[in-house]
Order: sequence, then structure tokens, then C-alpha cells
Amino acid sequence: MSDNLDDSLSRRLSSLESDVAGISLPGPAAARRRAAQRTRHQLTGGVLAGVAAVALGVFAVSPPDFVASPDPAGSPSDSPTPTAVPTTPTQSPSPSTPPVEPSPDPSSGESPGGGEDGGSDSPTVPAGALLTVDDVENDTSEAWAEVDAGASGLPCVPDIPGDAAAVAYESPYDSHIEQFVDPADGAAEARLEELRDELTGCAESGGDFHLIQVWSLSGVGDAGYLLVWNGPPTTPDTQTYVTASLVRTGDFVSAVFHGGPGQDYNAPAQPRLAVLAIERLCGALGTECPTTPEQERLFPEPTGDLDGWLTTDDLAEAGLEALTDGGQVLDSGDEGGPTGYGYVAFTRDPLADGAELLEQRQYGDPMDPGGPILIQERATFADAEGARAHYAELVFEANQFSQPGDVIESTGDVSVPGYEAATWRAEGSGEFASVFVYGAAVSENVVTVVYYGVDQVDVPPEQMQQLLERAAQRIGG
Amino acid sequence: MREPADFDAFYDATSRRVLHQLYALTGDLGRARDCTQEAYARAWRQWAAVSAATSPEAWVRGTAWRLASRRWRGGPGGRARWSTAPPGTGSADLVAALLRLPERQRYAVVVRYLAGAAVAEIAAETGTSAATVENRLAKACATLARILPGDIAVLTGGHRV
Repeated sequence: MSDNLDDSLSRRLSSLESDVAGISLPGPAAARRRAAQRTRHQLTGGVLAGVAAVALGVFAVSPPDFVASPDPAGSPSDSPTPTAVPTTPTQSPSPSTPPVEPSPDPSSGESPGGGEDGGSDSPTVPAGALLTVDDVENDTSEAWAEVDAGASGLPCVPDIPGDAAAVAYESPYDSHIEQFVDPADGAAEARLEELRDELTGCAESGGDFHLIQVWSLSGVGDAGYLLVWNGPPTTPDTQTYVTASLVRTGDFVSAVFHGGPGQDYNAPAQPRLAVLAIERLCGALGTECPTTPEQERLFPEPTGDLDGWLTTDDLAEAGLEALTDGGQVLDSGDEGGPTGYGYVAFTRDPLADGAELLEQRQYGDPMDPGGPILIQERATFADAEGARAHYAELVFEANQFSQPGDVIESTGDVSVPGYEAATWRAEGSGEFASVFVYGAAVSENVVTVVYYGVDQVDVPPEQMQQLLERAAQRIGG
Repeated sequence: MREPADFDAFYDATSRRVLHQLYALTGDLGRARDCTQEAYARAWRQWAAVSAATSPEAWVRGTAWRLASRRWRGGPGGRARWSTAPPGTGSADLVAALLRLPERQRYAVVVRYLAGAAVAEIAAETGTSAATVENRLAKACATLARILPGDIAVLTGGHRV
């Protein structure tokens, strides 16, 4: 190669700097927070139900800071001084309510439970029921400081109820955590639902407010919800994202709000704060509470299985049990919809071959956005003859396809009355080693392709063949 | 003990370069930004090891590229989503040309001619031989010369590669 070429190419590539000049990066602190919060987790089974005791939600750019290990409820000296102190006395709890025996908090002359001057109908929040600064400290050398509760400025966060105990923390990066524990004698279930309705109503009020996720939470206290939304304040680059962890146990409802500026929210809401909150509350109450979270997504409402497409059971049969979240079908006319087959080895253009419709559906793990996905695409032709002709060309070209460094093998084909199918496997090598399994099938007037980048779970040839046969059999509903 | 100050200094010194390189590799400003930031987050999670590497910057660049490559090959919209060079910019033709290169060739070209890495360094980074890298560079340059006809003279100094 000539020096001129080297220089010219270097200059041309360097000139791309002008395109990125207007792009800002969030900075090293945001990267460290993202690292602290992004911990892989495993779905332990069940459709849209999972145990996620470790991972945290991800604010992609400027996430709220977070969080220490979920220590069990500590000594009273671990507890912060609540900034809102109930003024009502202890009352005998209902039969379903654990005994409330506030223990003194040596760190404060005030008892969160108040408790000496009778007169209220509500049980008293015991000392030590609130999250401590140790609970919310993260592991990236960024300290949290306790601040006045009720002043977080986070969108949709309600005022602290009059009888509640509350605490709030702030990080140097403008992230906030605010918690209150609300005594609701005999009405905790209704109070929890009321709180959820209030928050979703606010988050769906339009304008700058957007509801992002709602999950029901079981296995943590008696019941709970996780909600995520965003709202003002906004800047050209950021909005304010909030996660609410609502749980109830006995006659108490705990609400933890965790929020701050960010650019997007790209992970499922995580139950860790809910677990910490219930551990603190139940520890203070002297009761044992379940702390094994399972969550089920309520919003966005899962799409479920669709006629003509692979089902989540089909994927589970292929060993992809975690891919339980089939997305909306996008067609070539939709924004972000397919303009051709999305996998590089499918070089044939279905639309150029006469397909009237090209659609795509993705299947992912609801607990691992950005994780492994399987993609299915369907090209619908005017008639079976057109579909068969396209399929023949598609398979021919896929068999010819190669990429330097990839080892591609045909892993099987089948032709039976009603459908045909073929599968392949591509394995890379070296630094960029990756494995893709993919296949194509035709039935009636539809050609479908399926592809999956092997991550933690491989799909052996036999199972891939079975998956493609399933895809073919599903065509036509 | 991880020292945030060391990581922060590394980020400040290198992140714009990595972003630039990821843009050249992906042709997608948003994806370049996302993958760059995620790669730095991963670097911080393994900072003890990354900071001790021969080239932490190469580690971040390679990680970001793997993230981008994986999203491209398995992600929604497939190849079409890569055709996102800013419309009307003078660089659009170069971005489009780069996207037509096989990914390993593209990586070699960008790391060689933008990051300034030596062939041996690219070979070490990608787990392949220097000869293979040379081969990829030669093919990539030949392709670029062919699909950027207005640049042939500039690219080759008047000589075919």
C-alpha cells in the first residue's frame, strides 16, 4: 500500500470527527454508576416471572446511585433519624398485624413511632423501619447524604402522609432516594392499591410524563409493585426517571422512590430496594417476612403468542426458556420495521422477489433487555408458487454464503408434505468469535426465517431443526 | 482497590477517540455512543484487569465493537439500521463505503488508519496473524478504492492498489 493511500485514508477517517463533534458522552461517573447497577441475573422460571435479587435497573446515562448489600435489618443504631415523626400513639394491632414494639433508637432522641401520647387509630411505625444510609450506599466511592424528606423534587412522588415515618438521601450526582412507611390500620391492601393508582395516574397524565413499566411483586412482604416512569425536570439531553418500590406487610405500606436525571431506562425494574425496605420494616417489627422476589410485568402488557408465529413454548422446547417475551409484529411499512431479512447470510431480498409483506417479531428475556434475542421474520407472497421460488433461491444463496473467519455449516434440511425447512450454524473465530444458528422454512405462501445469536444457551442442530419445523407448522395459524 | 480517579482520567483521555472510531465502524452515531458508554461501564467493572492490559483503550474499543456488532447481526432492523450517516454530510459517502466492508476488514481499516495501530497490534488485538491483518487491509483498501470512485486518485495517489 502506498503512503499516499495511508495518508488519504487517515485524513478521510479523521474527518468523521465533524460528525461526532456534536455528540456528548455522559462521562466517567455515569459509566461507573452504570457498571455498579448492571449486574446480570437469571430468570428462574415461569412465564414473565423471575427472581432478580441482585440486579438493578439501569439509567443509561445518569442513573440514580445505589446500593449496598441487602443486609438484614440491623441494630437500631443503623437507623437514620426519620425526618417526619408520627405524632400518634401505638395502638393494638389488628390480628393480622405483627406486634409493634418500637425499640429505642440510640441515635435519636425521637422515636419514629412516637408512641407515648395516645389518641390515633393507626399503628405506629417502629424505630429502625426505614432504609439506612448504609443500605443505599453504592460501591463506587460515591457517598449518599441524608437530606430532608419530602423535598426530592422527583416527579409524581406524593407528599409524605401525616402518620408516616420518612427518610431521604441524595447523591452528589443529583440522584434521590425517598422512603416513607405509612401505617394503615386494617387498610394496607387498599392503601397500596391507592398509591399505585395515584402514581400510574400521574405518570400517564401526558406531556412530559410517561409510564414506562409496572410490575406486580410477590414474595416480598405481603405484596407489592414496582413502577418506573419519567417526567420533568427535563433538559435537551435528559429527563427525570423514577422507580417506585411499593410493598406492604401487615398494616404497613413502604414506598421507596429512587430517581434522578437520565437519558433512557433500559432494564426491568429491580426489586432490591423493595427487599431492603421489607427487611428493615419486618426487622423493626420483629417479624419474619418473605424476601424472595418474583415479579410479573403488568405494563407494557405482554403481547403473548400470536397466530402464525413461533410461540414461547416452541422456544422453550428449543432450550430458550428465558425468551418469554414476544414483541409486537413490525412490518416493512413500520418505522424500525424490516427492510430485508436481518441476518447477514440471508442475502436474498424477499420484497424484490415479490413478497407482498415482510414482518418481523423478536423474542427476548423480559428480565434482560439488550440480552439474547431470537428473531423471526415472515415474507408473505401472493401465492405458494412465489414463496417456493423465493425459498429455493434463499436457501441456495445461504448455502453459498461465507464470511472470512466464519465456519458455516448446513445443519439439516427437511421436505415433507406441507413444508420445507433448512438450518445452518455459523461459528466465528478469534477475538470476535460468535455463534449464530439460523434457518428458513416455507409453507403455503409464506417464507419464514429464524436466527439467534448464541449467548448463554446454545441451540443444537436437532433443536434448531425442530424449531424451524414448528415455525413452518405455525404458518397459517 | 479501584481508583475512580484513574478510571475517570482514562475515560476523559480516550472516550472521544473511541466514540469516533465506533462511529467509523458503525456509521450510527447513537449506536456508537451507546456502545462506547457501555464498554466503559464494563471496563470499570473489570478495572483492575483492564487497567493492567497492554492497551486499555484497545480493550474498550474492542468491547464496544463487539457490542455493536452483536446488536447489528442480531438486532432489530438488521443491516438497514446501520445506514444512518447524517444525511447531507460530506462524510456520508465514506460511511456508506465503510459499511460495505466485511466487519473484520472494516475493523482493521479503522484501527489502522484512524486509531493508528500497527499491524502487529491489530493482530494481537484480534487474535489473528499479522499476515491476515495485512490481507484484510489490502482487500478493504481495494474495495474502498472501487466504491469511492471519486477518491481513487486521492486514495491511491493515482495508482491502483
